[in-house]
Amino acid sequence: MISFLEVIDRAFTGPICSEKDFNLNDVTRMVREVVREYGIKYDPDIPIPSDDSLADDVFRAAVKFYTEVGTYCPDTERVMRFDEDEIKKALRDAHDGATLGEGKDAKRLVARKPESKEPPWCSVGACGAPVSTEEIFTSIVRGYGSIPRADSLTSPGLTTVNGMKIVSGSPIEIYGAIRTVVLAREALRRAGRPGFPIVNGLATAITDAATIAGSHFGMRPSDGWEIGSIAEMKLDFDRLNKVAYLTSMGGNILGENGPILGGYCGGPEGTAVVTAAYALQDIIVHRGICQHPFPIHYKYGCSTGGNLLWTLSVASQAISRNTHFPLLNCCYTAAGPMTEMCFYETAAWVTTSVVSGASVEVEGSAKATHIDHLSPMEPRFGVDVAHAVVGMRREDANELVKSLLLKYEDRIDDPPLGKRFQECFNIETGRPSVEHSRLYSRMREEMEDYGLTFE
Amino acid sequence: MSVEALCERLKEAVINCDAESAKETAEEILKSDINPIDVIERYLAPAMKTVGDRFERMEYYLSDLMLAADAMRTATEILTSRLAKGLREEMTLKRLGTVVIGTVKGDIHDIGKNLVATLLEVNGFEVHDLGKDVLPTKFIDKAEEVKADIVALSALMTNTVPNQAEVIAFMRERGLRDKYKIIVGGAVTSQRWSDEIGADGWAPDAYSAVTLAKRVIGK
Repeated sequence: MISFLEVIDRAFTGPICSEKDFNLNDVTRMVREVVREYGIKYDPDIPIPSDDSLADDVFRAAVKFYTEVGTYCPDTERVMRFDEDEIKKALRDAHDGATLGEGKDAKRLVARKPESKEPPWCSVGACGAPVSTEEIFTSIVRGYGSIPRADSLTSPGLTTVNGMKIVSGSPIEIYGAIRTVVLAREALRRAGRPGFPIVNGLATAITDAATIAGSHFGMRPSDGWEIGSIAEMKLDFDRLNKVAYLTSMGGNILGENGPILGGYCGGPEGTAVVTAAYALQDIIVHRGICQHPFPIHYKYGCSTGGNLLWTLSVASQAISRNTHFPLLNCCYTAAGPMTEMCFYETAAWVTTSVVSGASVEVEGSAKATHIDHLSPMEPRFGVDVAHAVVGMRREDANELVKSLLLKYEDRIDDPPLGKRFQECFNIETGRPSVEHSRLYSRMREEMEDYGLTFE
Repeated sequence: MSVEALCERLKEAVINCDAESAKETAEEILKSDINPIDVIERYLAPAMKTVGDRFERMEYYLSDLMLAADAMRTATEILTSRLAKGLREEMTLKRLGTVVIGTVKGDIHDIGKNLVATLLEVNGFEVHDLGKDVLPTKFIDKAEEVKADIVALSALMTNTVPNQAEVIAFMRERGLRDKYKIIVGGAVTSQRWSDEIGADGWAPDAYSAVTLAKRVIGK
């Protein structure tokens, strides 16, 4: 694979292009072309397709798309392009997994295949959702660390430090990033999991400075750092700086991308192609150990609508069938904690990901945008479902997911916000309320009625 | 081809997001003596309404909206190029209002903002898009320059949304707060946030932003 320095060189020497032209003339035009060329069609009646040729066509479309479009650098207004041979070599040399965590919590994240009997990696937590205080942060992270069979933490993001609002780019953001790591490590220790890996380094940090600063206060080379893309197919110096730093210190990079259904990708077909293409960017530019995608709806801000489950399933199958690069999908529900809808969304999304060849990260509830609207109970449920659907056939999963969609899809544009953490959990003891426990149990029973078997 | 047929072709070009065809057809139409304002009102405006309706039904997406708006803009510039100054000013006055929009300092997310900007434009607003990572003073300076009615602030992240409040604080400092209507939006915003920082309104999505913009200026 070409070196990262060579990649950076192309940020300085690649073809000049305005961002608007890149968005509309490159991304939009090419995605439409490849969707047409490869005959990719979305079927709303089949959220989890079993058609291997569809997945393979999406992969071929993604390779062609990325070869033609590349990755845009807004800071230099140039495009980093890679030819077909370079992409082939990158696929050959891509990571096939990585060991995350320390001691008893060390485990290897590996690639899976559709319908695989290999259990998925289950990352649990908040997907960066905001919390109001350091006290709530510590309590909820302890709760996440207490989830059985969880493999890693996706921590919440702090919004205050010592009561002061964190503002991106300011010294408070630096303090916030440091505090995030310090508190997360302590909270995991309190949960009895000192070696548990944090994989969304660093949740509170937006800038490269804050990410790098916070990393020195408790992040380990066995942890993971999420480096996101700018929609679509763009990486600025801020993000590339993080790659330069992390590849030098030996940190594990999760190539994070949230292609937007309804945006420059177009509909489900185009969004599936772009999601798959991001895997190539994650290998070559992010230098990632895995892809960390969350295709998301432009209006609803969640990843659980039927059209998005199709997008995720097809893209996951495309990558898992055609590469050895691990896939760790990330879930954003519309509904908030302690609502039936949130549990249904989680079950549908987890089932889709696992049978399509991915591992799972659960979850950003209430779209991860409402302060304190998160809880360990729904991720715990997500882990239960993930293990229960291992080895399920795509046809069977499709029927299950269709039934679940009927339970919630009509409310996606006006979902229940649910409860804040402090309303459904005791902050001090970390125990859920009786009501929340009962809801969890009831939803598990309902899933058993659908045929799932829980350990 | 008759002028009416050319106008229908222009309408189709906009609906089909074809700026090249829109340009050629507009140049053809210009050779006739039809009133350009009639063409805009009877063909281009309904074309964008069709585009907007298709977007609402998710038959069209953001890129279609932007390409259609480009096609309409191209056609409008050509059609109005020979209008007398007075008639062009009359057209400007017919605009619903003037909006300055951008994503606040520290935030580089712009797809939602681009969507709002495009929908405001196709719904009759004059829009000045400052892009992303915009300093408070830039919003204010532009609003003063173009005599804006509305300043629209977008932010996607919890740690950048405080900069929406900063814009309002800067306006108050300069004694300009009452001169503009401020509307806010973005994934982490809410009506409560809007009330907390003293904005004039909050929109949960792009279509609501258009309704909100009309409402805050009394249209």
